[in-house]
Amino acid sequence: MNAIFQFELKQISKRWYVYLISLSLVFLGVFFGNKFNLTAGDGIYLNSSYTIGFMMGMLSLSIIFFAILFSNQLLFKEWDAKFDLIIFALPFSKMTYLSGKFWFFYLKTFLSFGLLMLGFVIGQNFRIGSEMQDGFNLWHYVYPLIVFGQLNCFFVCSFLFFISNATRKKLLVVVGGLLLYVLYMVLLLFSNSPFMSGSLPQSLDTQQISALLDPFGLSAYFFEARTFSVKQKNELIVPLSGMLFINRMVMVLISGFFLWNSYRLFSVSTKSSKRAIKKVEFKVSHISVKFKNLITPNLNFKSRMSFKSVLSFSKIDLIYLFKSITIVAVSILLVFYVGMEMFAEIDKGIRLPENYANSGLLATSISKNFRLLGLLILVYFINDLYWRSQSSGFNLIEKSVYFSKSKLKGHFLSVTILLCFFTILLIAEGLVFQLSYDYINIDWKAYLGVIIFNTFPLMLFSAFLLLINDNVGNQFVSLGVSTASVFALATPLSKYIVPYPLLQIFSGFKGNYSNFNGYGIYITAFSQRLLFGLGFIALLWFINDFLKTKVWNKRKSFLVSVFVIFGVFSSVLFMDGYVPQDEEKSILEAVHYEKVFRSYENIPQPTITDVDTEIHLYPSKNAYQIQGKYVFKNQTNSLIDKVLINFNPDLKIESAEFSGTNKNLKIDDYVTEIKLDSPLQPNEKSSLNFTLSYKWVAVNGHQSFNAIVRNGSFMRISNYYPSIGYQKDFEVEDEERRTKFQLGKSSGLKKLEHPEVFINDFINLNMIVSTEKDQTAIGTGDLINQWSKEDRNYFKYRAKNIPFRFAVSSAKYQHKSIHHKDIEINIFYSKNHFENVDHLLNNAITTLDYCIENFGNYPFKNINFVEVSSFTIGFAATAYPSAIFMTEDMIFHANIQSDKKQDVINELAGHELSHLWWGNSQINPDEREGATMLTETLAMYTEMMLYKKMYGKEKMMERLEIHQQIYDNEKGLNGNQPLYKVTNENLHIAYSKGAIAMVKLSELIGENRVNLALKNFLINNQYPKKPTSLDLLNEFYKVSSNEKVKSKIDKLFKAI
Amino acid sequence: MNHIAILKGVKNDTDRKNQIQYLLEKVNLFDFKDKEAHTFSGGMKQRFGVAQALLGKPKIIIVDEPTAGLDPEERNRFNTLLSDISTEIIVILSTHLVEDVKNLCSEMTVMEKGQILKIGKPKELVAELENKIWSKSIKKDELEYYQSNFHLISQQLIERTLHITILSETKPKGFDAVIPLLEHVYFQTLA
Repeated sequence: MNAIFQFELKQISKRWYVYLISLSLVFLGVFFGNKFNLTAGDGIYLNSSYTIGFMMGMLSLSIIFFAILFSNQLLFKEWDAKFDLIIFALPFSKMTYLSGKFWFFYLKTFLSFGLLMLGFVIGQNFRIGSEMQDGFNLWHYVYPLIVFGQLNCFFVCSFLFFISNATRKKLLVVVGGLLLYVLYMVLLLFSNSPFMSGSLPQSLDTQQISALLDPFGLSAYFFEARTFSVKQKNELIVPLSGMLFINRMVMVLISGFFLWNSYRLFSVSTKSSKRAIKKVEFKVSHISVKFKNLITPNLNFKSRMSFKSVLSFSKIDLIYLFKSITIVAVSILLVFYVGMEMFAEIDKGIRLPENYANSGLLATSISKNFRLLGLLILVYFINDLYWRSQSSGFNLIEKSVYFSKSKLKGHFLSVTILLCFFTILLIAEGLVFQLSYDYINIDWKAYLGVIIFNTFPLMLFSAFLLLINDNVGNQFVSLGVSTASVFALATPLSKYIVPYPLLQIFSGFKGNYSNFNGYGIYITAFSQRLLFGLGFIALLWFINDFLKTKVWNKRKSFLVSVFVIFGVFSSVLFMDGYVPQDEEKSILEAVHYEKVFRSYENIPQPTITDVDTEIHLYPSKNAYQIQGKYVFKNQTNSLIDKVLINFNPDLKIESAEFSGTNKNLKIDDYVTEIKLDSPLQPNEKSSLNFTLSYKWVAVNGHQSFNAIVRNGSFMRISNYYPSIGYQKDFEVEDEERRTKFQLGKSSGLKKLEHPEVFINDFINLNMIVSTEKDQTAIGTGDLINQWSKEDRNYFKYRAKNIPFRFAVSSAKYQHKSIHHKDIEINIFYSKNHFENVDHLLNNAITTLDYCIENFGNYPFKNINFVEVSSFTIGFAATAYPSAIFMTEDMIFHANIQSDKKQDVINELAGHELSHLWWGNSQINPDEREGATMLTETLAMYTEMMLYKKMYGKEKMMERLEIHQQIYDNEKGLNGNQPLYKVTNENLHIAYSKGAIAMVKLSELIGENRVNLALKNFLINNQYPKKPTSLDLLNEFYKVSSNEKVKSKIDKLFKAI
Repeated sequence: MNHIAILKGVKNDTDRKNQIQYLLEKVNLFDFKDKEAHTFSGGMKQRFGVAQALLGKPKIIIVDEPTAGLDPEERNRFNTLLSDISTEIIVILSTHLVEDVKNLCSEMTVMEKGQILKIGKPKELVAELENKIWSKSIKKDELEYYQSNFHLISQQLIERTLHITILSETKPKGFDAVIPLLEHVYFQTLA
């Protein structure tokens, strides 16, 4: 065996801590394998061959970090130990040396990765539950280990080996490693991985290019598996063929190329003999020593001098940093990475048009991506700067001076300046993007967020890293500890290690910037936490200083107290109102609820018939108050002697009173069983009065559908009102848990074949919404009246005969309206989002005309399109009686003029508006299988027909093609169902497959016949009947001419 | 130099500049003031070391083997520099070059394992050994005999012949008188 290789092997096998570290790697892997649930899709097992391959591919990322660490240690060893002069005088060949070094480097990296994977496999196989399939197939694990693990390791190692031989600079090797990391993240965006695709697929061309170029092979893997069904993904391995094979071969060749060049470029002399050394002529004057007197200057050791010494240390660092090529390389890396992410945020794949390149989008893009890369860059730079004087031998001189204690502060200052440099660079990049995409409106508050959410936490972390380097005695070990601390304290992993929110001082901010609301109260809260972090780290610094210098004085006491007081004060502010989330507790509560109250499924309960409510919004306080009155009626034929009332636990019950027939019973528990003294007779009424309040604080986070914010609030407020009877949504869903708690079968979704249902559960709604004086509130139904009183604005809404489903929004709106055929069409939008308003109005008119003509009358007096802030996540738009709420950052403010010319405004007008026919206003589908077909599929149909009407059949078919692609993607991940039995989770079937099926239907029997069937469907299934998909299919049969057509219809809707 | 001067507390910018210029001239590195330190030759590095040590207002300078690795001309120059400095500052020189001690030092000590074995002025210590040092050339196999019968303080090769030096109050037979040197003080102290 190669003597160099043997020597290295002997060295590490002698050290006991190597075995300790190996064991810790295995345990780390076990922890990951057991705790983390990265399912590729519904129905695909965690230990299916597809998922295992995918997991190993993704975890290959860890190879980069192992390789960077080991390359620093192994590939520079001879020079670091100053042993190079001796060892390179020995008579072995260049090939021996290089191959010994490389193969050991490769072995060490691969083994580390292998140990991690071993732990992962063990951890995973200890899981029991529905996500694991039976049986253990060793080849399913070994195959990806070879295809991904070995080959990726080979690639990464050969690349880093090449850089180390070509440049002989440690930092550049690190930059090379980070470049690989960046490439990995960028390609993930374009690879159509199960996480990223969803409803935003990439075009086939993009996928192919990404499959070819991805050095880690993941894109090729996904590409080859894209046609696999769920069953195939569970049982078959993705074969080494097609793009996967090509990609792997290409990577092996490229690795070989790097290795060959390493051999060529390696040279033992430290000076590059190829470059002409600049010969500067130094004239040597007169050699004798001059006997002059020594001039002794005045010395000063006070604080101003201390500051000057800090500046001097900093100057040395900065000259070193900015003179070397490393800073250029790192800057390019950062700019490239963040730039790609910015581009991806703007260009949304093939389904959506571009977003406007507004400051908020770009600033949050920086915030999401700069931080982690910045942390890693900091780890390496700080390590290099700190240990520089030691490795050059200069520390002997440095330590002999009085102000050597300023070294740490000097490094902190230089790193801070470096961070400011990077921040300015990235903000400049954001501005460049804005200018090139022609969006000149610059919002500086958004970019302020970049500084607060990135630069400051990074500064705090660099102070922490300096402490680590100052206390760990060895350069390499402190590098390892620093890297580990990044992963433990500053990545999402930190939530498991320090779950207390106050202590996550290094975390970033993953939220949105809203044009309505900015960063909301999050920016204040984040700053408070930063202040606490500052106090904490400052305390640690003072302690470190005292331990090293053993000097304490009054000044230090004063400073420490100031920092500590500020820190404590901010922490109290930050944590005020914190409610810890206890998953165990909520499961126990759900189990208890089901065990005690499930009997109510069969006990007659009254139905709510009228809702009178006042909703008082306080946006500036993130709070609201509800006063409500229910009138309910016993619509059954039996006597009702007990009523189950459920209040939402997120809202505080200020007061609640059930007015039975005789007594008034007070309620103060979230779930209350009211036992009536005299039972409620059939048709008899009673009422419930309640006052509820809600407020949220930043430390708990906000709820998307209950987002009461400074501007642009949106609340699906009926979700938070009390409900009557057994609520099966509260049930525990997980099968394994249900068995554990002996709960039996869950209520489940009703089967399609269940008998017909008639329930009178529509309500009459009278709602008064009030809000602060500069805002307009939008409710549900027709606006009856509005007025102002005592600095608040009041709006009265009324709706007759609607399902129990209503929502509210409030903001500083601009308003535009059009009157069309006795209906007022209103758009309420934020001042800067005017671009698509007119287009929406026109689209709305076309939609109204089409729907009224083909399906029936519009049931309300106005249509309100209302924009809400991006603090509400989860939909592009949602329809309520007479109101359609749209989030600002999805479709409403998209750039439809951009080159792909996708008119998604049609989705708003066509799709959402048609929901006011299809879904919850005129018909209320019964909650069973196939219900979503009656709402979403029919809305998709209307959307497609309108698109055809406005842009022609060809354009519509292009949109349809995209839906085909979405459906094809998703069906391989989430299983398949016939359309007429579709359930809520399978949106890709209800939306995409539904759209395709309905368009095919219109080609089969003609659009007019389809519309006739739909019109009849509405007429024949009015409230209180609750229609099913079978009712709809019936109408289709009725307009079909013969049996052949009927069987084709069946094929469209009943086949998989 | 500027960095170290700041770290030593030299506040005033002009003072600093003047002192640096003075020192660089003194050690003859002024012409190389813009050259990077890691490119210096061995002798230049030693001179730089002295220059930076003199920054500020040191009262004592300790130099450890300062002329190791220097050629004879540079060594002489360096010694002259040290001597010059020692007129104003205390210089503690640690070296194995006995000649340097003789030429430069006003006081000397011999130390072993951190313990001081002898202190004194070089001339006086040498004078103590007057008429007590004798030397003779012998054959290699005779060494053992002489080691056990005489107070042997050193042995060395002169033109390929083994010469031994002994300490004795009276002249032993066959030995020649030797003028005592500082080297003999060293050997005698440690023997």
